Amino acid sequence: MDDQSILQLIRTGKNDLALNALYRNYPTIRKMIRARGGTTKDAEDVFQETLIILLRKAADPQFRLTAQLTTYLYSVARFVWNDQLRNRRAPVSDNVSDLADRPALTSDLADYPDLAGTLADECRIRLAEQALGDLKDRCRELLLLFYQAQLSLAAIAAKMGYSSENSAKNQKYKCLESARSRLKQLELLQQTQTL
Amino acid sequence: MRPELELIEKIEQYLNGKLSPADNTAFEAQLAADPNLREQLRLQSDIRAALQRTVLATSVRHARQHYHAMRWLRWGGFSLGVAVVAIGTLLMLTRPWHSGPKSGLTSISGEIYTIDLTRDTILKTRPGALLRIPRGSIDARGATTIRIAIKEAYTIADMIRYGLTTRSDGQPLSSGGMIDIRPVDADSARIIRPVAVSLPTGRIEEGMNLYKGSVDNNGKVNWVDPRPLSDTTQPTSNSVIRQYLAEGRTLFETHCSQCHSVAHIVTGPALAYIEERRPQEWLFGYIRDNRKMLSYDCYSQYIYNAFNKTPMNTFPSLTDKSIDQILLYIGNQSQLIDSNKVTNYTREFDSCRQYRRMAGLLEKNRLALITANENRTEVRNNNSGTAITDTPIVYTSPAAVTTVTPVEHPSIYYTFTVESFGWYNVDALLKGLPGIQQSELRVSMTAEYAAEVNVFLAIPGRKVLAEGGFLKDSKTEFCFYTEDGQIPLPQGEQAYVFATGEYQGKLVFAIRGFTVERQQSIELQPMAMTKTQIADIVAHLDLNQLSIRVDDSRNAAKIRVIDTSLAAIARFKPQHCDCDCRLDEPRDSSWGEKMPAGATK
Repeated sequence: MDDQSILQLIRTGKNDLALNALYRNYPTIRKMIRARGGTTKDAEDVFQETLIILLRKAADPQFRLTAQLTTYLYSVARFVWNDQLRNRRAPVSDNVSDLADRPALTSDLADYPDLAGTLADECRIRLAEQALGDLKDRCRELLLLFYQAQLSLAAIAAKMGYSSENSAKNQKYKCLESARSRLKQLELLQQTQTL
Repeated sequence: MRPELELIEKIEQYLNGKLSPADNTAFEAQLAADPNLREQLRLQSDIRAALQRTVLATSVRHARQHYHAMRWLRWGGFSLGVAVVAIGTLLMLTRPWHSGPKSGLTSISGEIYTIDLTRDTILKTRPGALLRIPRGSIDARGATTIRIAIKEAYTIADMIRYGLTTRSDGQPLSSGGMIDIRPVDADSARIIRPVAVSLPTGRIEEGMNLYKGSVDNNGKVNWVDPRPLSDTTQPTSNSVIRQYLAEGRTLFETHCSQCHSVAHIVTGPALAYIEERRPQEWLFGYIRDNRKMLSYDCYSQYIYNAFNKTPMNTFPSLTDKSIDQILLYIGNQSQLIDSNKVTNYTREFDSCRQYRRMAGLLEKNRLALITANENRTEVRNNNSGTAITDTPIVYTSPAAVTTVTPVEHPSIYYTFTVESFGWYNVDALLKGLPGIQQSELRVSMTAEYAAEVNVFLAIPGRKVLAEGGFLKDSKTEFCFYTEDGQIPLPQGEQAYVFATGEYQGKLVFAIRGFTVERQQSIELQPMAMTKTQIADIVAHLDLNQLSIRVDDSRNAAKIRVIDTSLAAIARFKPQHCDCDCRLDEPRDSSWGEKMPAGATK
C-alpha cells in the first residue's frame, strides 16, 4: 500500500487497516533500536509510541509528509528512542562515556523541527492517560463513550443506566473534574522527583 | 450544578468552539488575566488528548497482535507462496447472483475489481480478504473480463455501514467477518466452480462455521446453512493453528487453570493480554521457574507480594512449543475480554518503581544530612582536674565488672547540650568519699523510647553527672556505672535522672528527682515537649548550674523539607510496593541473558 493511501486511511478513521500496513516497518525500527542498545521490548515500545505520534499528526489536515513514510517513521522512532535514553540516563549521567555514545539529536531536529515539542506534549499526555487509568472504571467508560465513541448524552444515559440526560452530563463533568485533579496530583508527584 | 462543574462546562464549550463570539472574547480575556484558569484549561485539554491517545493505543496494540500472529504463521513455515492472509475463513456471504430485493448490502457499492477470466487470479482486497479465483470458475457468458464488487465487514462500524446484522434464525451470531461478492452488472455472470475466500480475523473460535446470507423481503440478512470451515482450500494454516489452539487449551487446563483464569483473578492473576504486559523472554523464564526469578527480578517480587506471597508452581520441563501454544491460547481467549478491564499490574509496578526511586533518592539525601549533623547529645564540662586533687582517691574498678557505654544517637532534628562546668565524672570521684556507699540504681522506660534517648544521672550537691547505658542484656533499663546497675552513691542526697531525645520527629524529655537510697529503680516516662517547656522545667529545678539546652540540629530545616516530600509522595505509594529488590537499577532487563552474579543459570 502506498504512503498516500495509508494517510488516507488514517484521515478517514480506518486506523486499524493503516496500522496493519504500517507495522511492516517494525523490523527496520527494531534493528535500529537494538543497534542503539535497546532490547526487543524497547523496540516494541518505541515503535508503538511512534505509531501513536504518526496517527495523531496525520489526523491533522495541516499535516504534510515531506519524505517517504518509512523515512518519517524511522526519524520519529530514532528521536523517541534518543529521548528515552536521555531520560533513563539522566539520573546516572556521571558516566562520561555514556554522554559520548549519545547520538546527536541535531540531525533529527533539522528534519522535523516540531518533534521536540510534540514529544514533550506526548509526555504530558501520557501522564494524563495515567490519570485516566486511575479513574473509576465507570468514569473512564463514560468519558470514552462521550469523547471517542461520540455517543450523545441521551444514548450514554440509556446505555449506562443514568436517570436522565442531565444526570449523565453532570456525571461527565464530575469525571472530568476528578481526572483533572488526579492529573494535577501526578504532575506534582513528578516534580518532587527533581528535588 | 456546583460552580466548579459550571466552570468545567464553560471550558468544555470553549475547547469545542461552542461559545458565542462575545462569550469567547470575554473568556479569552479572563484567560489572559488568570494563570489559574489557564492551568485548568491546560489540564482539561490534556485529559481530552489522553482520551484520544487511549483509543489510539488500543488500535496500535491490536495491530501489534495482528503483526505477531502473521509473523507466527510465517515462522511456522506455512506460507503458500502467496502470503497467507486469513487465520480462519469464517463467515462468507454468497448467494446466487441475481438481482434481489434492495438491502443495505446492495445500496452501497463496494470495491470494484476487474478480473481476467482467462487466467487464474489471486486477488487481495484492500480491507484484507484473499480470493483465489481459478480459471473457469466464473461463467460470464463468453466475456473474458468481468467487474466484480466486493464488500467486506469486519468491525461493528463496517456492519453498521452495510446495514448488516448477525442473526441466524433469530439466534445471535458472533462474527469473524463477512464478505459479499457480486458482479457489477447483475445477471452478467455465475460462479460455476468454487472460489476460495480467506478473511482475516483476530480470533479463532471453536465451533465457528461458515454461513450463507439469505436476504429477506425487508432487506435483512438471515445467516443460514452453517457448515464447518473448509480447510481444503487453505490446506495448512487453519488446521495447524486450530490444532495449536486445541493443544494450548489442553496444556492450559492441565497446568494453569488450577490457579489461573484468562478473565478473572483466581489464586493467581488473570492472564488476559499477558503478552502485552510482559516480554516473551520474561514469560518463558517465569513460567519455567518463577522462584529462581524471585531472587533477582523486581517484577516477579512485585507479583509475589501482590498475590499473598505465594510463588507459582514451576514448570521446568515445558518445551518452547508448549509454552508458545499456551500463550497462543491465552491470546486467543483474551480477544473476548475488554482490555480496559484487565488489571494492568505493569502499570502498578511502574508507579511502585517510580515511588521507590523517588523515595530512595529522598532518603539517601536525608541520611546524608543526618550524617553531616553533629551528635545528638553533647556533654561539655571543664574538669581541669583541680577538683579531683582536693580529694585524693585511688580507685580501680574491679576487673570482672565492665562499665556501661552510653549509646550515641545521630541527631536528626535536635541537639541537646548538657553543660556541666565544674562537674565531676562519677568514675573518678565518688568511691571512697565520706557518705558514699555502693548502691544499685536502675532507670527504666518503654522500649521504643529507650532506643531513642540519652539518660543522665545528676547529683547537684556533689556536682556529679553521669550518662547512662543499657543494663546488661536489657533494652529498657539503664544504669550509670557498671553494667550490673552497681554504683557508689551519696546516701540521702537529692539526685535527678533525666532523658533527652527525639522520637518520631518529636522532642521528648523526662526528668525525675529522688533521694538516693541503697537500692532504687526509677521509671521515666518521656513525653513530647517543646523547647520552651523543657527550658521551663529545667529552670525550676535546683540543678546547681547544670544546664540542658535544646537546639535545632544543623540540618533540621532541610531534613524537614525532605520529610514533607516523603509524606507527600507516600500518599501515592501503590500497594504491595514493599520488596527488597534493587529498583535503582537503570533497567529492568535483569532476566534472561543479563543475570546478576550469584544467580545460577
